[in-house]
Amino acid sequence: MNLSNLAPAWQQYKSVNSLTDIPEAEILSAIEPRRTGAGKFLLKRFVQNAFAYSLLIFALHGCAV
Amino acid sequence: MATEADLKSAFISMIQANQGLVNSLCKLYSRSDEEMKDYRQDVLLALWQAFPNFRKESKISTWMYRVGLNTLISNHRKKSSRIVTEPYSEAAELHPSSEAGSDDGLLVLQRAIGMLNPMDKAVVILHLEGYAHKEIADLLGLSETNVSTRLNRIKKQLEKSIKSLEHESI
Repeated sequence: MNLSNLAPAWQQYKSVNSLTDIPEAEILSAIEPRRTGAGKFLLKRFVQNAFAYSLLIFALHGCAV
Repeated sequence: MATEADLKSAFISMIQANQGLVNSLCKLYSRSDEEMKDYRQDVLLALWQAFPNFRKESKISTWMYRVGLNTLISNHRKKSSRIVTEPYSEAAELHPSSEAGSDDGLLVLQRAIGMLNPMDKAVVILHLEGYAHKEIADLLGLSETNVSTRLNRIKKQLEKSIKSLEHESI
């Protein structure tokens, strides 16, 4: 089988798929919200860790006294 | 110096000018319309993250194939390490709504390529796009010999699939 025979069908396949629009809003939502999501996640982790460390310090301080 | 807004605007224009390429790749790697949309988001994000480093030394389509295909292949690896996926032949059957148009030739092409494993899909897509074996090897991080071996195997596999798909449609 000669794969080159499929090349015109591949070009046609791309042309057909170029008719499906990728809206600007979808592009923006793909490149923007995940960053915000990552920021929220980092903030949440920071708050959790800060709380855990304060408890630990409080407990250790109690032991020392 | 380009601002973030300029970059975004250039990026959106580039994606919309090449939406046939992005849609085709995502369709060939997905099993449903929902999955296709998820993959498209992943590819768009990967392209956006790589966009500031695009040096214009290669054609924009070559760069898009490199980033897009490698993203889709690595997505599939991550996914298949988490869950057991169904065989590709069955997967292709599960994606009827996204089949391109009503042209039988295109349906056969989509379903036959859909049955290949992710790396073989990438190799055959780049071959159909007219890239030489060495360029395909560079784009996918394979050796030239590996590309030639894969293409020989793919030819046999596609021949078999196309015959059986054409027989089915009669």
